[in-house]
Amino acid sequence: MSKISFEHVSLIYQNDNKDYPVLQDMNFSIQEGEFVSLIGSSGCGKSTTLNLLAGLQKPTRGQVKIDGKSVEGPGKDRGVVFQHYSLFPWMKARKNIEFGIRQISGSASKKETAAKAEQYLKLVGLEGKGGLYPYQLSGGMQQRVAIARTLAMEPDILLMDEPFGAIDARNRVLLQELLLALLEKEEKPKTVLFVTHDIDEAILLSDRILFLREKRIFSALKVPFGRPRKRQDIIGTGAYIQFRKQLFSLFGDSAEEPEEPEARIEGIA
Amino acid sequence: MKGRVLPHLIFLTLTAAIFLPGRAEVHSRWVFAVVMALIEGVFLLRRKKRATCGIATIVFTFFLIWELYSSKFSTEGNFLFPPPENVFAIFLEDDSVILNSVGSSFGMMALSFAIALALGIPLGLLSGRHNRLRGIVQPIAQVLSPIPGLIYAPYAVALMPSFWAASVFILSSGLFWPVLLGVIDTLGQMQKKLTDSAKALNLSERSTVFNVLLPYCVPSIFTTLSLQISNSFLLLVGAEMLGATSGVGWYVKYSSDFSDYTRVIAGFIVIGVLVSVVNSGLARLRKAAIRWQPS
Repeated sequence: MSKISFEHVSLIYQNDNKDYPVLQDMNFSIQEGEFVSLIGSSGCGKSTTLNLLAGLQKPTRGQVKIDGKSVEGPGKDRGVVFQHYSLFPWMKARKNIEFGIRQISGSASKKETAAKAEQYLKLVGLEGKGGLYPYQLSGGMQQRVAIARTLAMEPDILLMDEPFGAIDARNRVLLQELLLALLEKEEKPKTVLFVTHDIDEAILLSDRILFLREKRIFSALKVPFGRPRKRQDIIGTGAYIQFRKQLFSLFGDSAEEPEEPEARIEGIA
Repeated sequence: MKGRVLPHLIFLTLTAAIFLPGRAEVHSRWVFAVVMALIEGVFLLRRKKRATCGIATIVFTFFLIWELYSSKFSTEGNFLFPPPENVFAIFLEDDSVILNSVGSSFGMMALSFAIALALGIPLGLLSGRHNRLRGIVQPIAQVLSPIPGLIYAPYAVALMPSFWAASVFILSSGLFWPVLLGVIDTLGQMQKKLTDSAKALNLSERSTVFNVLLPYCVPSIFTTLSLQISNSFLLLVGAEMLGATSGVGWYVKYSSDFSDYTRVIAGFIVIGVLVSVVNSGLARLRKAAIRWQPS
């Protein structure tokens, strides 16, 4: 059984008796421990797909399932990292992480919680910054704290909505590598859905890439690189350039229908 | 350089004037002289700040004109413009009455603030959380909120068991509506990223209210308080003038009933000092409460 499955999922907004479909009859599944990226142009419904899985929105038709059970709302099995820095501004960095931990293990002592928060701060390279408020941290640092908060809650599924989208190029590279390293450290590989519009980011991080177009999954491609993966080992290789070209062509001219769209779909359950 | 010496020159002239014989009958010069010396002391401590010089010049010029007009040259004006020496001497003469009045006014205000916050914040949070309740509460609040408290003061006095209770009622309702509307409005504008974040963390209702919504509203509650504080003083003094037997408003009203304008002016000064102290206390509290915001 797939860890995550979308079955004939549609989301339609209604306004003045007019229908505005955001997603139409979307089908895909993700296996346990798989890292899947969702790419596509702005406004194609990437974030909506992630919100449905997070339980923040409900589909108009169809079902979103985790372990075969329909998603009814947010849950402890899923952790979300948003593009905007979603830390609570009135809590210091450490407090934000502790607050997250307390949501999943109410029984843990103050000391245990604090120790765990400190451990995760260290893990994301922010040792000694726990006493700062979010406004005193750079965007990249805030996102590190948000990742630490989510990982500290030990969810099975990690949902990331363009987490590095608002971060400068240099720091983005650092954070991508940090995420790779963190996920490799996990004993049980996490199932990840990662929304991005950055092709290189998707190739570097994922096992599989889903391309969203015309309100549904238009294409699915397996990333032809193994793990552990290092940026310097794959970037610039012939396989990389070839694969990137293939992905990039998908964006192409959206108005133009490919001749045989079915032929490109592989790996969709 | 010239500008820096000016306030001190005026201060010295003023001091000399205080101790020179004049036409008005002066009971004691010392309280006035000491207060002026204290003000000069504060200015000397803060002389590095640019504005200090200008403020000092204006303050001492004001007292010098008052002193010269009422104490040195005029006897007819003494009735409406009592010499500053006599006004300041009242602080020593009436010290227990004034202290009592300040305590009574301050206590009434603190109690009313506490009541308004204790009712307005929870109701605001509830309304912000439940659309149906907000649909009922918000329009009612918008109609009742702009009615000035003093308008229903006479009715409140007739309605409530004691004058004191009536004043507390008027004051707390004057603050209750703005606090309630402020909280509802703030929650209505709450950034989606914070509500999404709270939902994604799977927070309980209780935790959402106490750890997310309430702290989010704190800055705007302080803004409401600082905007409403002068209105509250207006209500307080107005209510006390209606028939209280203590408080700073009562003190001014009572003294003016006897045409004792020396005490009336002393009362003005007390009210001014009290307002400033409450304001700066509130500003400090605000600073401590929202350290998490970039200043």
